[in-house]
Amino acid sequence: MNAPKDEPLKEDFSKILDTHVGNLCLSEKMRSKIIQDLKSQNFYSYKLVSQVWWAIACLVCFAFIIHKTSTVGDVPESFVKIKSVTYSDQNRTNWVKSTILVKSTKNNNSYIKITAIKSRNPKIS
Amino acid sequence: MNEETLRLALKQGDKDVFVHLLDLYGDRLFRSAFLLCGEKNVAEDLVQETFLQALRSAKKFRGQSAIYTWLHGILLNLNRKRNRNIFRLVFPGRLPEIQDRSLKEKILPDDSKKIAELINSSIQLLPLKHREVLIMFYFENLSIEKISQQIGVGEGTVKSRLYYARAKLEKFLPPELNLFSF
Repeated sequence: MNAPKDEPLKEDFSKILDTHVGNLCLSEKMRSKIIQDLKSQNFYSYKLVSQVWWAIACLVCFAFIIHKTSTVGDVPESFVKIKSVTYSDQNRTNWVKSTILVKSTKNNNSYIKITAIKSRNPKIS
Repeated sequence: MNEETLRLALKQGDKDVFVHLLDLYGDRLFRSAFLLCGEKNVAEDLVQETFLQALRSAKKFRGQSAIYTWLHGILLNLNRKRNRNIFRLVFPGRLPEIQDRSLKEKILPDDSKKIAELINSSIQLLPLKHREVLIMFYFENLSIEKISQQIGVGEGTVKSRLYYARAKLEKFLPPELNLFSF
């Protein structure tokens, strides 16, 4: 498996390749196109473009995070109800008036229903 | 501009140096690209993309190899990428057609153009890794050691690939072209 053999063979094959492609040149049109491309897209413009893409990607991520946290975390005010209730123990002797806060989240769209038992003469302690 | 001046200019991101490099190495790269891919239009695109890629990675050039070797390395990588993308395209008639032609056509020893055309079309039938080594050895005139450094494989692997490339090429070529008789 000793590939590179004697030199004459190498020279012959190299000459044949040279004969076939030795006269090939880049066309003037392509040469000027490459030069134009090189001048318009230099190293710094490439870096700038890549930096701009990174900045856009970061902004999108940041906006996404803000959107998520603002809708999931705090409950919007329209879903908060303040109710005033009066409650007592089982014997209905000690009555307490209190204020409760009913909250509902936007996501599961559920409400807490509180039913207060009414009494004609509540004793407020 | 000598090699050292060009290297310094490259490190500094001087874009004018690329115009100079295009004048120096553009045609040589084009010929190598043509042998690698077998089509002039594709070879031109490869050379164009090589220079743009070189511009982007100029700052990373460590100067451990010659500038042409660096550019040629980029060209090889781009051609490999292109080869991966076109790998799924199958041209069913291509192989038998060339094999038939090589067997039927009588080629005169002095018909160098026809010989060269036939060799070029046969080179295109070789697997890329064999083609690369063959072109680097016979066309770029690189030593086994240099080829092994450039493509990142051992010298034994380069020799083996060269051996198989020649053995396969011999099958595609008619008996008159007795270049690769073992």
